[in-house]
Order: sequence, then structure tokens, then C-alpha cells
Amino acid sequence: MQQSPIDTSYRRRLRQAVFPVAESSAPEPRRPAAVTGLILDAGPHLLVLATPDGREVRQPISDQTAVWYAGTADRTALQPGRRAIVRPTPDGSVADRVWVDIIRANGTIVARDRTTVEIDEGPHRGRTHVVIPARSLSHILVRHPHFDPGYLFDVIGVRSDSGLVAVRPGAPQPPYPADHVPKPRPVTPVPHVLAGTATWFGKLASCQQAAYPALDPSSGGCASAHGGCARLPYLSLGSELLVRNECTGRSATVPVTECGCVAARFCDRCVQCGTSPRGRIVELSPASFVDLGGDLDEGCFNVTVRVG
Amino acid sequence: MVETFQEAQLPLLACALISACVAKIAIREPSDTIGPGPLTTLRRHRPAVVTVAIVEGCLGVALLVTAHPVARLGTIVVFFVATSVVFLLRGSKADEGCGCFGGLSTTPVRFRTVLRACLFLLAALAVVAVPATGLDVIRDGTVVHAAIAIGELAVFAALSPEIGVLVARRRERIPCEHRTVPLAETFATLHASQQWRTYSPLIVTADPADMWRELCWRFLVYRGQENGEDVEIVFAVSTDERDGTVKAAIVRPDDDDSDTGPNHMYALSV
Repeated sequence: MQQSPIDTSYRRRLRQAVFPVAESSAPEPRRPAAVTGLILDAGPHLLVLATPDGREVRQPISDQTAVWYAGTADRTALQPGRRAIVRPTPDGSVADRVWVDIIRANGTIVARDRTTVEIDEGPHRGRTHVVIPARSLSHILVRHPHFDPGYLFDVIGVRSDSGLVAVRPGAPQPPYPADHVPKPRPVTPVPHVLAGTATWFGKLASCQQAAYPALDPSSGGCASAHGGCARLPYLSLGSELLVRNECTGRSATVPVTECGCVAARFCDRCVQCGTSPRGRIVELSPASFVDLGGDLDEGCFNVTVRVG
Repeated sequence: MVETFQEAQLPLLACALISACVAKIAIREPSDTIGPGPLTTLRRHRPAVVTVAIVEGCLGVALLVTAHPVARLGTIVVFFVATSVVFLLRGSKADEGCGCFGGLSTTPVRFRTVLRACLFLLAALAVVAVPATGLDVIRDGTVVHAAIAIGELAVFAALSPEIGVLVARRRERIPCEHRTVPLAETFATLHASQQWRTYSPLIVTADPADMWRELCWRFLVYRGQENGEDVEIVFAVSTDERDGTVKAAIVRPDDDDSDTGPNHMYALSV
């Protein structure tokens, strides 16, 4: 199991010195974790991956293994040199789903022409060049009626040498410009359990990470972050979130490693299982999203989040 | 009956003066609500506001404990000045409050504010020759005294826009989880706390080694030494607007290999 870039045990120990807490009496049952890596070899029954920490993982696959590569694909998509993330079945015996070279970008449109769009993913993620092939254009335009600079854009695609090749929209585009996010209604008292939407961000990586939209600006958060669509309590980099996928019932503790300043601008709802409250309250790394039972190509799941 | 009416003004005036004192000190007027004119010169300078508040508080207490004419005359002067100021503010049609109750008096001066000041001035004039003290009236007062005081309180409450502002402030109070709290406020709260006085002698570094915030608490970690042993002192400072709670704990090094020490990448210089 790889270690996340932030070791939160230090802060947890200090926090518990001031606020002692009882250990949870019902720990989450252990499930085999998602495996991320570079495809080294793929046979009819075995997928060999090189993980970022230098290990070689041999993951059994079967006819029941679902493969995604720019849509539903067969096992010919498992080509050496591509990156993949594998979700094992609950007993860990075989791969349940494999996503190949999947990547997501969301942010504010800064420039576009008919087949490409440049989006600003915030000060810590920079700009991303998205190529929209003709076969995806109509699908994406239906969900992004304001295909103009200043509006939000969210797309799931595949990694390529020319950038992100769009496959499908990550979510319907909010109808307002990115700098006109509706203000949330004040909620008092602040609920102990936050409810909303969880999405995923970035490229395939193996770390358990979360981006959270409301980081304390005085403690190393992103100071220029928008107040956000969902009114969230302030946390810091390194804070731990107990994230529960309300659609699968799976939960896990995930450290906050980034400011979700772009997620804060999306006032959308997830409808994977019922309709979530408005607003993205956490963005997960692909590994965390998959471990919690999320399907990367679907883009979101309904979530509740506790702090600590 | 007239004497009873005059005596009933003493607790009322004392209550008003002490309330004004507390409000001026506790609830600052936002600087952008104070106009530039000569009528508001004092209000732009915090020491002057505090001085006026102390004078009002002293007069309020004096009305309760003594029948000395200086207290009575001082009260008349205060309410005469207050009436004049609100009258002039009303006449200037300035879109600003009177500052009578500090940051609560931000509503533009209207007729009812002028009327309230006039009534207070009349009440101050009425008590100038009353031989009893405010405490005497509270202790020995009759049902008639109480009825008059309650009736007048209701009138003054109806004439006071500050009541609505106070209610609105309570309703709009930002929960501590959502408050943006500058580091300066956290350090001011920390350094004024008993916990800091208790543990600061153990601290060996000027700046915190680590600092982060979660919900209603900002955590600050300092390096320290106790009995020759390296320790870490953790302070948790409340981010609540009206709660200066500071909690602290000493953490000794243990053999836990998973503890990798402070997250230097997040430590800030302060």
C-alpha cells in the first residue's frame, strides 16, 4: 500500500492530545485497494502493471472484467505503455473494472476554437489543453451550451500526446459564468455531516487524496479561492475527511492535499443514487474515487463527509 | 406621585448609561459607517470612544450608589450633548447612525432617535434633586416604581433601533466553522490566555513549528523543553467570535515510527 504524500498521523496525534477521542468501534471492512500503474503486459487472464512506487503487480482479469478506454472497450485496449487503474472485485480475486488512460479536466474556459478548448483549472493545477474530436463534439456541446470563455467546463477524456482528448462531459455545465457563483444560504448550526457531490480530478495516480473547497487561507490554503456554492467549514491541508459513498455504502478516510477551488464553483448535483444536495464538497483522486466504489467514467457520486 | 416618578428614572438612566458603556467598548462601529463630518470626530478615534464609554459607565454606577450632585449634573451634560448631536445629525440628513450604543447604533438617525434622546434628557433633569440613590430605589421601590420603570423601558425599547440591530446580529452571527480568522486574532487570543501563561515558559522557539485549522479550532504547535526533555506544546485556539477558549496539551516524543514530525511543508512563518 502506498503512502500518501502527506503523513497526517503527526497532526492527528497532536489533535487528539488536546481533544481525546474514542476509537471507532466498527471499522470499515477491508477491501482490496485499487491498483494504478503503467501497463507492462496484458494477456487473456493477467494484467501486469508497474506501480509508481516501483512494484510490479500481476492482476488477474476475466471475461467479466469491464474495460473503459474512450468508452466501453475490449481487452485490446490494455496495451503496454498506457496507464490504467484497476478496481478488484470485493474478494480481490480478479479485476472488476479497468479504466485506461482516463483523465479529467474541469475549470474555466479561457480560449476556444471549434475543436480545442483551453481551460484554467485554478492556480495550483494550471491550464489544460483539451482536444474535442468530432465524434464527441455534439455530446459535449449539449451539456455545455455556453461554450464561451468565462464559463465552466468539465470533461472526461483520454490522455494523449496532444493533451486531453475529450470523450464525454463530466457534468452538465452550470448556467452562470464562473465568477458569478450563487451564494449559499446560511446554514446554522453547521451540520456535522456534510452532504453533496464527490467528483474526481486529474490524472491517474495511486495516492489517496482529496481536494477540499474551503481551506483556511491563513494555513496554506489557496487564498484566492471563491467562497463556493456549498457553505463548508474551514479545514487545512492535511485534515482528514471520512468520506462515504452514499450509493455504495463504502467509506474511507482521505487526507486533504489540495484546495478544490474549481470544485467550489460548480453548483451542480449528482444523481447517481437519488439527488444530492447542491455543490461539490470534495474532489477525490482517481484511486480514492475508485476505492469508494465510484466509476470514473460516470464522474460523480452522492457523498457524505465527516471531518476528523 | 411626582416623587415616585422621579425616583423611577434613576435605575432607568443608570441602565441606559451602563448599556451604552458596554456597547461602545464591546461592539466597535465599523469605520465605513462613520461619516466624515465634525459631529463624528470623536467616534473616529477609538481612545476617545473608550473614554466617553468609561465616563458614561462611571456616571451610571454613580447614579446607583450616590446622590452626589456631580453625578446628576454630569448625567444632564451627557444627555444634553447626546441630544444635541442626534438633533444635528438628524438635521444634516446624514445617512449614518449616532454611535450612542457603539456598533449597534448604525441605523441612520431618525425622529425616534431624537425623541429618545430628549426623553433621556428630561429623565436626567427629573432626578437632579432626588435624595435617594438608584440602589435605594431598586431595594425599597414599590410596585408603582416598578410599573413606571417597566413602562418607560418599553417606550425606550420601541424608540431604539439598536434592538433590531442586536437581534439581526444574533441571527447573522457567522458560525465559528465559517469565520475567516486572521492569524493576528488567533495570536492575540492565545497570548491573552491562561494556557499561554502556563505553558509559554516551556517554549524554546519563537514561532510555531506547525499550524493548521480544523472547524472551530486553530492548532499551533511549539517546540519546548520540560525537565530537560524535548516536548511539543499544542495549543487549540477557538475561532468563535465571542469565545476566547484556548486548550493546550504537552506531547512527549514516543516510539511511534509513523510519526514523521511536523509537516514543515505547511508550517508558516509568522
